[in-house]
Amino acid sequence: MRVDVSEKPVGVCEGRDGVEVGLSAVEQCLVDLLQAGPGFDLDLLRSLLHGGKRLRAALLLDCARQVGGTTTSSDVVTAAATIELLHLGTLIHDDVMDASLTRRGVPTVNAMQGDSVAGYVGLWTLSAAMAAMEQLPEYIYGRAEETLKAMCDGQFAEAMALGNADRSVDEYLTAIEGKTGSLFGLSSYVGARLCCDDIGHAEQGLSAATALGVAYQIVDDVFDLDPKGTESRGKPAGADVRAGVITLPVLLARDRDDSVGDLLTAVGKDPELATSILAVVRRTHADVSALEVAEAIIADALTDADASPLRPALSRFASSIRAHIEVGLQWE
Amino acid sequence: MGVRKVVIVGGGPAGSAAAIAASRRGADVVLIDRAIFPRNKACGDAITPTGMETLHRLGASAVVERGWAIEGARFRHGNMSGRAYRLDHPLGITIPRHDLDAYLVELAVESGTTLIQGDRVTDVVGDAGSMRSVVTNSGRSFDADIFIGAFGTASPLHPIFGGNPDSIVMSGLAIRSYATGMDPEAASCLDFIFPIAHSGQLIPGYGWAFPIKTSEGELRVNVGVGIMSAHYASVSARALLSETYARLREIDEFTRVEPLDQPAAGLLRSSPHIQLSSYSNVLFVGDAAGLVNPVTGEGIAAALASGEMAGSRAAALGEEYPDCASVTSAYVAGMGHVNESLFKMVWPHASEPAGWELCGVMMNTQRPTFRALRRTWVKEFVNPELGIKAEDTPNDAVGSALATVRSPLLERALIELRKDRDSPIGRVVQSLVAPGSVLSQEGRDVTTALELLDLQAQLMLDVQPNGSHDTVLSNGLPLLLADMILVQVQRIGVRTEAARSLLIEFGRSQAIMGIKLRQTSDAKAVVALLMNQAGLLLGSGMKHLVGLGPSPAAPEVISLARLVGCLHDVTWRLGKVRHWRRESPILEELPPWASRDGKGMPALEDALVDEAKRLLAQKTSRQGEDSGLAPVLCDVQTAAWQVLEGSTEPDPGDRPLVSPGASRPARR
Repeated sequence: MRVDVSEKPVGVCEGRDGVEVGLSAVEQCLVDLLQAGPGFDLDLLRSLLHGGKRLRAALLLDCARQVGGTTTSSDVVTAAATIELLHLGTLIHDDVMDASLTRRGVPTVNAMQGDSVAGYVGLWTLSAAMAAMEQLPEYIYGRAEETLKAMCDGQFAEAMALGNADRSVDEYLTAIEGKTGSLFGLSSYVGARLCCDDIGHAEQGLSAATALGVAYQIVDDVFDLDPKGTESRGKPAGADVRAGVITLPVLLARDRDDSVGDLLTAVGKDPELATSILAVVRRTHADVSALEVAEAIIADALTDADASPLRPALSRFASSIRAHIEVGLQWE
Repeated sequence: MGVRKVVIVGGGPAGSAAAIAASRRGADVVLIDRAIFPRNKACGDAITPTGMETLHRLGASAVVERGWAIEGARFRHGNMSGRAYRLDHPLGITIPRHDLDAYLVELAVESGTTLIQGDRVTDVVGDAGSMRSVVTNSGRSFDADIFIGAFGTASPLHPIFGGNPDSIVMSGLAIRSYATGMDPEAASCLDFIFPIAHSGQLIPGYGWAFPIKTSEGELRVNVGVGIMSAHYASVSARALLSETYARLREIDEFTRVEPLDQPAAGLLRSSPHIQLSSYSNVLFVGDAAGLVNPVTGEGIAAALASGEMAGSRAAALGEEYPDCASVTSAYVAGMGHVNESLFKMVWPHASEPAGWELCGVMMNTQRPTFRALRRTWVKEFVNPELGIKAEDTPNDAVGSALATVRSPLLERALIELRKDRDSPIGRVVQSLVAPGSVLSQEGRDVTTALELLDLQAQLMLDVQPNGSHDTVLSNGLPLLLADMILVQVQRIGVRTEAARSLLIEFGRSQAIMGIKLRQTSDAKAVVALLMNQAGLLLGSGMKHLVGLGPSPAAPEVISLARLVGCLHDVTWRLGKVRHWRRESPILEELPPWASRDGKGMPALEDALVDEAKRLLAQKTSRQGEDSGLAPVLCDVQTAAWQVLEGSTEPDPGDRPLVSPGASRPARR
């Protein structure tokens, strides 16, 4: 399951007036892009879109600003909207694969219309994103292609690992780097690349933001286990565990307590056992350790990007993840 | 050097094959086994055609005659009755290892081998890099120039003989018992049971029920279950076997099945490469060399082949080969790549439950995606003798685009899917190229993109309206493959703008048509939408070829290309519908474009017939026919007439594996 936290993260607008202005232009752009596609009822798509936080768009705008770009320039806004559409398209397909019934607090397309319609709605959204990309400089398209490939590969690895209690931490990290990290990487890359001739900056943004995206996914996976997160996240606690998606906190708990392996084996038949798995995660502090892993990844990414002009933008994105980590650590 | 002395430890098929081959070559051979033959051995008891070939070569044809001939395989999934596959040549034989091993040991003795049975090798004597002799429990010592380790899986002798246990990559477990009570009518097929589960959790592996004749001529069934991952070694194998029995009894042919003896279990270890010893004069063969098939757990064929190879090479020491090192390299080279390609193909998915669940789904559905996967699976793993030959792998642009898909298994399945579809796109484009001239790179790219998009459209149609969420991959897999194809077309679009525009246009129109398709149940409207899609693809393809190919795409040519695309599509679908109406026991398994329910099928067939007739009656312009498309049009028209008149057997997809003569319907 891909990241989706519905409430606005702490500190998302502080000191980023340019980004805020840009984001409202992105909203308008998204509305325009969706209007360009009649033929089926777009209300579902709109309500799904409405719940998003535009984290990727915000990161792109912020990176653009750091290298001297304007957050309201046509290319920057179109690129940000395009990335949000790409994100939306893959979310719709993910929901089919995960058989998720709610997302961002509203029913998923597959829940409302069935899997095949959801498949087509996702395809339409991805095609709309690619159409929007046509308006952007040529080199963006190539990068986006690589990103979509990485996302597919990551999702495939995730699908094949369902229910695999043997999954290694490395396999998990590789999968989430593809399915989640890569699009954050693209956001930073495109923001920098559109507004600055130094490709080095864009490449640096790509690798740092990819890592931050991984941390973001880890935090989301920890929050999936939080019973208190039910309302805010729009999906029930422990949904991943019940669906056979084995994430970092569970992997760490497995390595600390032998009973987890058996529980993971049995949870397919008896979803109620998810509660026991969550209890072991808590008891062994595997959730805290997972958050610490996320924190370490963030720290490394920011250190690597220390000399980059994108550093302030990356730091702001990192702070929003860290705010969640703080919340998570307070559960204790 | 005088007569070469060869000591072989272990008298299973690998050891005996080595003894037979080495003795025939004039070596002085001693074969040592801890048991006294005949003895029982935990095994599936099935021998593949490759294994049979080796047996014939070894002069063991009598044992092949004595075995029980197997004509096909049945794959059971969940509560379904399962689909049967029959081949136009025998799938193999079954014979109890009790009999097979004793026979082969006897054959070795007849060939001149000295047999030491009922004595266990406990230690070896050797020095830096070379083994001199083996010592047995009874205190005897046997020296030799060269030693062959044929002691099976996980033997304590493996490290003593210089093996490195860490180099075994995959390990698993198999357990079986013999049973009675199988319906004799069904006793010509191997039954495979998917998926297997423990406490509701899927486990990588499969259950089996293999009919077999005892030496007294009585029909028995070898019932077993194999697990393909070490993690599940903690699961009770006996409990799994009991569950397999319980599952079997739900199947008509096995309702009265009862175990006759205590279950026997064995470990499975597999490695991508032949296991080598740290001693220069030791060769490992069969299971001891890690030659178990990592997917099916089958090991006899490789045991026989490796034994024969090692035995004949060892006997040629001092003649053909100057030293032990050259014997070893000749042996390794002779065995080829062993399991390497299988490991590449399925690893790491073989150890993942989702991969095996997928396997169960694909064995029992008519959905094109899974059927293509199934054909790949059967060809590659269940019966590698039918394996996809090098020339079957398309060397064209579409093939290489598919080759970048994440999993080699999926890549093969997509290639199969494309074969099944037999798209006219390539021919249409080719016909438009003026004789003697070559299509530009852009033209080729657009053609590739068109074929990939055609494949994607098929995959999207394979996503069922309401996913059966008992398996997440049921709809997820076709959708994911469709996304992967989107990425491939996008990649082509990086260098060719026309391909990019095609993707954007077709992707959106396809989505809109697909959604409408799902919202209508009127057969005529469904057919109209499908035709729209087929026509759109070729029509917009031609539009984008303007200025790229040597031939200009006039409106007449575009409309003729659309006609070809529609006629091909309607013929293909009509063939499918006719086939399903006749064959499919499970109407809800049909692709969603076919019908919402069984009642809609006749209406759908009528609508397709009407559409085919309408298209056949369509007038074509002179200018269009002059474009070079006339022969392609003529071909699709002929095919359409043939299907309309019912004069051809529509392609059931699985046909290449089924022999019409031997065909018996799968049990409903």
